[in-house]
Amino acid sequence: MNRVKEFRVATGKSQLALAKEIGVSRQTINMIENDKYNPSLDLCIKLAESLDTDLNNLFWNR
Amino acid sequence: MKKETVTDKLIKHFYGITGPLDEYKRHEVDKIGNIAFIWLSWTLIIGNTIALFLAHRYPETMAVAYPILLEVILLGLFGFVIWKARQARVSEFDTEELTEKEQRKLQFAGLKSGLFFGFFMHLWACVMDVWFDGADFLTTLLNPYQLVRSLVSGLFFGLFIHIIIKIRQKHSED
Repeated sequence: MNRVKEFRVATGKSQLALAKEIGVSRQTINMIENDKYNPSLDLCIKLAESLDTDLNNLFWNR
Repeated sequence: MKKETVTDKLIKHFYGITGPLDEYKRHEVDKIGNIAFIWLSWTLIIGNTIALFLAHRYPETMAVAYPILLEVILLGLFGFVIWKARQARVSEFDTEELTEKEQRKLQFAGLKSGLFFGFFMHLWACVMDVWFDGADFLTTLLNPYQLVRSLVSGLFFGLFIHIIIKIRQKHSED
């Protein structure tokens, strides 16, 4: 389970705002948050940058 | 942002995608397209072979039945594509997410597609009458019965498109 939703809510962004920021659709953010789609590394990096965190925090399950 | 190629535009139009064709949507339509392509390829390879053999014995029946069968198979395949695209949520859209051009296109989309459909159905019916019955084109074009028929078919088609758009919008909001 990734922590995209957690970080997105913490930064006060809506799914649509985040989607627009990284150039994807809202449905894609929704799918990633619900673990129904594994994003590419490129998209993961964009997400991490936009949510002001790193890949470990966002995707690494410890 | 990366500029959309003609292929991207075709994909978006075919699958009813609005907004960006991002990696998730591209991945899903690739998957759906591949499944449809595999089924269609095998159907055509096997179907054409059978049709070729049957055509020797029943040429007239095959000349009529096979194209109809192909149309039915294609319609079934379109149904599958629509169902899978809906399941993968690639054809959903948010009004705020659309570009200005897409928002303009969406305004009165039902009315526009109804008019377009009605007009072309009318023209098509007239051409068919001229072709098969040797009727006069202008007389058929202005035939009140034909005009009403085209108007009604356009109305129903427009209504259908309007409902489809509203359902997609509602589904996305949920």
